[in-house]
Amino acid sequence: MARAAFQLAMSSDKITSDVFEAQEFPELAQRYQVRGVPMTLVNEGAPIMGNVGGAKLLHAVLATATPSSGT
Amino acid sequence: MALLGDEDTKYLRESFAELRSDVTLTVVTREKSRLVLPGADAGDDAEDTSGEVKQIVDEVAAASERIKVTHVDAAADADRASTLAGAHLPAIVFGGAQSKGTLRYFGLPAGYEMSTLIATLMDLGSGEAMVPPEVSAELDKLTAPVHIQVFVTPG
Repeated sequence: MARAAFQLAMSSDKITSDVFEAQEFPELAQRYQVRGVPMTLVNEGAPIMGNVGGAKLLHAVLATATPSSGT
Repeated sequence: MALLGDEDTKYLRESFAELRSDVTLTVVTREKSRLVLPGADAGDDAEDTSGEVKQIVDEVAAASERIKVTHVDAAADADRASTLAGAHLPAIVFGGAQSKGTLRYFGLPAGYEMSTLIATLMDLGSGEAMVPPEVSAELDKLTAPVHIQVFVTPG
């Protein structure tokens, strides 16, 4: 997932991809309730668990650009 | 003592021979004060991997002239460190001629994540687009910032 996140960031100046070694940042792991890895958040939305692939990550990224998906 | 063995370095040299453009790595760490305060717990720094992060990045970068490394010490240049890495250290900030967004790795890229570091260097220096044109067109429609956070462990 880290590589997929980086590849998306390479492809858009709107995207920042931060990869955290969870054990070194326990306060972040606690804040985001990291229960397993890899765990991915897009704009702090619902966590994406596991290596689900770049397509699902892309879908989550593009969904942030659809205002009607939120309320 | 070197963190990478001779076989590792040989593998990296062969892989990095395929780099078509320069890749930059900016390593943001905080140099420890040499001043030891009375009563300070030496164990406080037990988790600090800054020294290893600097060393591993330098050793990886030594395998290719295409990889340029800059070190930033947050203790000496707090503003630049903050701009690059925000509130978290140690950080590795990736850059490349064709890279558009921001790519940062926080912590020590050990174990499986070492391969992420190498793969990302190869991606950045490949000279190729990372997504097909139709996906690129979709990404170009993004109007607001998107923040992707991935939590990993060395594994």
